[in-house]
Amino acid sequence: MTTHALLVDPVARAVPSDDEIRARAVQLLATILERDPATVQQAHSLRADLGMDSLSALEFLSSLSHEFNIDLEVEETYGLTTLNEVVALVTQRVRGSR
Amino acid sequence: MNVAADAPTDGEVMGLLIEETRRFLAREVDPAAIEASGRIPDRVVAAAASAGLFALTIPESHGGLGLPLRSAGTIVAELARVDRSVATMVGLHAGLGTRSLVVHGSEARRARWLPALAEGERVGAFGATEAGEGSDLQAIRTIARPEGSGLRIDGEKSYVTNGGFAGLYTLLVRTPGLGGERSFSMVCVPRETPGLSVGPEEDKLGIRASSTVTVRLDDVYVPSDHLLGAPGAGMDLAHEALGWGRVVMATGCTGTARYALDATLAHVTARRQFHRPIGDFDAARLQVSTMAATLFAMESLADRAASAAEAGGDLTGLSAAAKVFCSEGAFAICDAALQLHGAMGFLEQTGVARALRDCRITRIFEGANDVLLVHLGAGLLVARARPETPTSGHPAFDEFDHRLARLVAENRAEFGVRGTQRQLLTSRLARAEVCALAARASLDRAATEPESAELAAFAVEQLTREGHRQLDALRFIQEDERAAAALSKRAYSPWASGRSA
Repeated sequence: MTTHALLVDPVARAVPSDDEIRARAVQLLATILERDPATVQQAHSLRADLGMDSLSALEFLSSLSHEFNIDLEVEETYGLTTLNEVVALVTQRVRGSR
Repeated sequence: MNVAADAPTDGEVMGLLIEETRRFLAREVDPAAIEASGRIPDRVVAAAASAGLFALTIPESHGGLGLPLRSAGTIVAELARVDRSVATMVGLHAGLGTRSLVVHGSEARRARWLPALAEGERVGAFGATEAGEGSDLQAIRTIARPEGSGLRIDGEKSYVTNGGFAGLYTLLVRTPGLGGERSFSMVCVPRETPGLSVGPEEDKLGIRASSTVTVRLDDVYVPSDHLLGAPGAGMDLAHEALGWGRVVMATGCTGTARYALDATLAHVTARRQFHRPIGDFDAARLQVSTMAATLFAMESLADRAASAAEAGGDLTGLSAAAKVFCSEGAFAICDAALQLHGAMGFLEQTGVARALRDCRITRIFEGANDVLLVHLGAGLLVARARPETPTSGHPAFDEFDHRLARLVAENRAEFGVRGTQRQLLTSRLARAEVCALAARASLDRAATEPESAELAAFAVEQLTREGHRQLDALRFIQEDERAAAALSKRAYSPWASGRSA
């Protein structure tokens, strides 16, 4: 289960660490794919390793957008192929830079 | 002798094949009797094979007719005018049942199986869906593990059309040992393979003579060359085959709808009420005109999708739109046909009741329409660019088309990727897009068929109105979401608490 965004301490929510972003992304992904988070690796390809298609990838990106209260524009999600790349984008957006 | 001059043209081949198909239908197919028996008799399958109906899309190099999808669709529509179970058998074989083998099979396997498939010695079947998974292909549990020089397969596939008598099953399976932990692959399993077993025939609302079974795979072993395409590419192959199969299904829907319209025209011009034929009343005229216009648009969109399939490229959106539009159109036309027949329509002897129940499944199988619409809408929101189409010269259509493009862009800018998860947004945009595609295909067809101009104009008018209605409904998404969440929560609660007790 993921924690509802409103229940998270606002300070912590404002500046999640890189590790925290990574861990929450893995947790969200594991929930969507119904698999053990321990089996998800950062270097995993969304498609070949995790078996995601474009629709499940959109669900994942949308969940991240909700979880971290960030707007992910469609254009910036083009070309994402690994979990690492997704986490890097989310981290960048959480930090407010583009 | 000039061989080239004597060789029949494609048009001549199609003319002969349509004649042959009609002869087959007239001699062999009694739809009421076939439905009552609950299965397609062996002699009908054999006669279909003799008529070349299993050879439609098999390449000529491997004993088939090598017809383009458009032509194969024409034959499936002919069959569907008379018997949807027979049309489903042939259409599934020509589409999902053989498409992946034709395109992605190894030459050795193509040489081994395709001639038998063209002859109808083996009929093709396709299995992706599993019990409890429905349209969610990602949830497939049937698994194939590499072992020696082959694959060991265990699992079960549900709702396998043609499965009861098929000779070759093309299956989408998980292959964690090939191309990634969560990879899927497509594999062919011949009927005689030890460990493959077929369950009893399902009892269904419609297409009651079409074979629908569960196929079990217990410790099934096949050599690795039974794999189609690259290891791990199964999901791509499945989507490609489904794109092809949905076009075949869309054309089948035009056949059923044509039957229902013809039956209605015969009835409303002969049946008299209040001292005149019922077809002379304005309300009946409008219904019949709407049926004819809908069918015109269905044929136009199915034809456009079939032509796009021939041209190559990604068929996903267009085939889904054609499948949704033609399955809903066929059902609406059959329903209107039944209504215009009055109480007689409810009796089996008129045949429209059978047509109505037979076409109901097309809104569900090969991708439930609700799911396809949500996917189509999500695709619109994340498309790199909506394909540029020149203005049609039809002011009302162009205005609608521009409004649709503007609203897609606005929602994309407002919601980003989150918009793709809002199903009321995606499905309403998708319904508007389906209207736009059908209207556009109708306009383009009318440009080459001057005699259809009036019918096309009416179809475009109806589609444009419906498209605007879908776009108008975008304004109510938030309140509809809120109301649906609250009302469904209340409605579900006794059921949910009953389960947890």
